Amino acid sequence: MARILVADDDVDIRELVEFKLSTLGHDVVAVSDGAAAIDACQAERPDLAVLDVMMPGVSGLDAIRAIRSDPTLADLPVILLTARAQETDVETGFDSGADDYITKPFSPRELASRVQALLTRVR
Amino acid sequence: MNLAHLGYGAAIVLVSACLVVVLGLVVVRFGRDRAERRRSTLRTPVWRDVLMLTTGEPDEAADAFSRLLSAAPAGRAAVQDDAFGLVPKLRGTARERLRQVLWEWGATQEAARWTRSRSSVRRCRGLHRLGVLAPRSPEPFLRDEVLARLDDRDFAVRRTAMLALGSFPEPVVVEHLLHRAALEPRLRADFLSSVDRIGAPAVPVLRRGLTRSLAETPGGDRRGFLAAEALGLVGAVSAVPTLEAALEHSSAELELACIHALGQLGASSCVVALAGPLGHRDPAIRRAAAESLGLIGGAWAVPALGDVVHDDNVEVARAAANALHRCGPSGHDALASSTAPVAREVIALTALGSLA
Repeated sequence: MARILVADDDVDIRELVEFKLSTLGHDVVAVSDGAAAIDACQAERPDLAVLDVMMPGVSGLDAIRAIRSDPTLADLPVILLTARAQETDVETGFDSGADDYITKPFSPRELASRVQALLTRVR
Repeated sequence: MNLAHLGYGAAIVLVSACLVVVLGLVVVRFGRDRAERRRSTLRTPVWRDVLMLTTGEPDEAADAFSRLLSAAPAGRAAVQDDAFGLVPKLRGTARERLRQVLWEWGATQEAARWTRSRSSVRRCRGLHRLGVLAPRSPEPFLRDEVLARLDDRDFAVRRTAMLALGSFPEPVVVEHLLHRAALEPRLRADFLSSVDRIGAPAVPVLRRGLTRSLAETPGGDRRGFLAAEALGLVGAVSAVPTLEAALEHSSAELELACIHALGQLGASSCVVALAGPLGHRDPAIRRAAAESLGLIGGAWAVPALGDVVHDDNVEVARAAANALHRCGPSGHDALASSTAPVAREVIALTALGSLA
């Protein structure tokens, strides 16, 4: 079991990811914007974060940069879950420090598999 | 009765009216809250099954599917809007399972009825829903319901119909989309979006549309322009000969669209087709050809661009130099050995990290 942060301004996606990861036994913290994601990372110390890119205020990319610049969170595995599917978007995502990149529309089971694989790798 | 009595009476009437209004607002608010609580109570278990259906393992999803099929009509109604909103966000089996439930619930027939509603909002909702459910809708009458709405009196309905038709990958649909988009320029972006989703089945119709446009109108018309744009977007390499042939007889606007499409296709066979427009008398066309060759990139585009860096028009020369920069090592060598000022400019900017 791991503690996982989910940040997405789309309530459907948030609810779906939260439901899937909870049924796998993970403890899920869900927030709706990048600033709340940074705060939750500092307060909850998750084992992994799933972030949307386009969120109001602080974007997912800015949130990753903030996470990476914090020495206590620099190693946090981050998966970007986003509708931005262009090659350059994926490059930018990885350049910002993401460990994995999933484009919407997405398969919840595939997301769960990637979460599991990343958690296994970092443990 | 004196003035004081009249004032007293008026005050009583005013206070009573205010009380009635406040009481009315309280009743309305109470009713709404009650309805919302009831909806929430009905929604929770059914929505949980929707989530299990879309995220669960096959056996869990099968159980959820059975429960959803036997859900009470009020429970179905409480989640139906949200379920329709969820379909486009999913892919794979999760999406198909949810579509199947909505189909089994009879949502398709209801949506088809809505497309004939007097309310334009309801017609839009019906069309959107038919688009969401389309791949599970083998009946041609559903497609025809949506096609008929391309001629609706309301623009929002025509636009929603155009977007919904992107879920019907059939040549007859592409014919109608092209026809409507040619008549109504503000539907261009929606046309391109739908044709992009239709993909390969659209290509023969688009090729025919481009050819016919040139045959029926000297220089081509809007239908040809849209067909050329869409061919580039869909990535139809088989359309290169059609686009190449169109270059010879097109108006400047259509020629630019064909050049841009060839660049988007990105195949090496497009380089030969784009070499001709590099010598065109119109600098806008020479520039577009250089930019498209840059999009294609690769060593095969370098010989065609080598001389264009010396073009009299500095914008054309600069586009050629930038295109060479995108062509990889052989393009960089060509820039380094060139005496053209724009070549040195691009090399300097690259050194400064200003170019990607």
